[in-house]
Amino acid sequence: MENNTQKLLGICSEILEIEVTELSLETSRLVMEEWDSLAHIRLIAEMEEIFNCEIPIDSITEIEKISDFLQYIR
Amino acid sequence: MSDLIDNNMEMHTIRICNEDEKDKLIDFIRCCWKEDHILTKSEELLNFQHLDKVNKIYNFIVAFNNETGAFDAILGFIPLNKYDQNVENDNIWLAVWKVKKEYANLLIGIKLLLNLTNMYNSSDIGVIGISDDAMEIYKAFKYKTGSLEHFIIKNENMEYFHIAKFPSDTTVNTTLKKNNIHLKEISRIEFEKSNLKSGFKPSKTIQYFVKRYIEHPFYKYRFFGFYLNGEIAGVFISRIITVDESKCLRIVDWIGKFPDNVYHQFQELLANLDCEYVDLLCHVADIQQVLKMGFSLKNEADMIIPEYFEPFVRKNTDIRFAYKSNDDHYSFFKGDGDQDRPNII
Repeated sequence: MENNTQKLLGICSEILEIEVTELSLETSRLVMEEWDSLAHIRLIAEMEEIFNCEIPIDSITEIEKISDFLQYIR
Repeated sequence: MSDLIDNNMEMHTIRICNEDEKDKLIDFIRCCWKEDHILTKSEELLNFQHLDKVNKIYNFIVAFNNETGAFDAILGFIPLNKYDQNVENDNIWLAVWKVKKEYANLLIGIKLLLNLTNMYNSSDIGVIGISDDAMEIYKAFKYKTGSLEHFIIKNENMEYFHIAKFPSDTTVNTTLKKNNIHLKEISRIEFEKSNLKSGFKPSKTIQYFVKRYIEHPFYKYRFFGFYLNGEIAGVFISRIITVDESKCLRIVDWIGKFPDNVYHQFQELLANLDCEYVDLLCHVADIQQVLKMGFSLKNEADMIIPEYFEPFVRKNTDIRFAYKSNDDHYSFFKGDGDQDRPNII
């Protein structure tokens, strides 16, 4: 779990181009200019590939916080 | 059609643009796309491409800001039946897709796309002329992606080229022999009387071609038909593009068959029209059919066949597309969607 969290934050850091120390599971796209549609799509694609999971298309706009990814990768 | 679709958001309502919201639409295009964009300058063109008079809407799905009353994101679309209401195919082409930067993290752009595709539930959705970023998003949504093939026949009787650039050692296609296929320009009446059927997916009707091309408010399209034994086998829709004193012929659409071995007929046409070349930008299931007509594929390494003419830019440009269809033979031509439209009037 902790490993997944670190991996998740690492992916977000890389794609959003923000230091991992500035991110937490509670970080929300609603307060981040960097987390736009394209970044969101890249995050989804990366999560699906790294964690071998599938995030339904109709659900992707419901993901607001980094922690919201956890339900798909556990 | 213009009923609310998604009321779960506090700030935005995703819905179709009403006919009486034209000014809001134009304001958005001015502010977020281009101040002097053609759609802001010509109501005639905007209406030609996007107004649905029957339903009193513009074919744009928008993110309406409930607080400010402005549009914060738009996604344009053109249903195939925009130009023929009797057409059975429910294909839609997507067009301009823009979001105000300050609202990008609300994912309203993605919400527009998802809402539109859910609302229309079309079996075929295509989009052409897309950016790198848009391509990435469409790929993520499992659209098939690619670039249009650019086919060309050079006028072999012309010595100097001002629009295109050909390598000096371009060989003339001598393998194709003259035959009894006849090429001639056809009138609207002749075209409407023909029983031509679209050989491509999405399937277009005679009436579609009439409305989309013959009744275009700005461009003059010319229809040329290939006749075999007196029967019309295929028609291409084209327009002459002029750059200073030079001209070229661009084929933007096709109905019927690609006839084999018509290189010499094209040469005769190019000579008559005094055009440097004829080109055809498309994505079709079998490119061999186009090559068999006598066209060659553009070789970007040593050839320039421009894409932009308004203003003219003498360079090669990739035209990317994306589509979702159950049919593996989904096709694109340059006249599809919002692609072949004036940029300057």
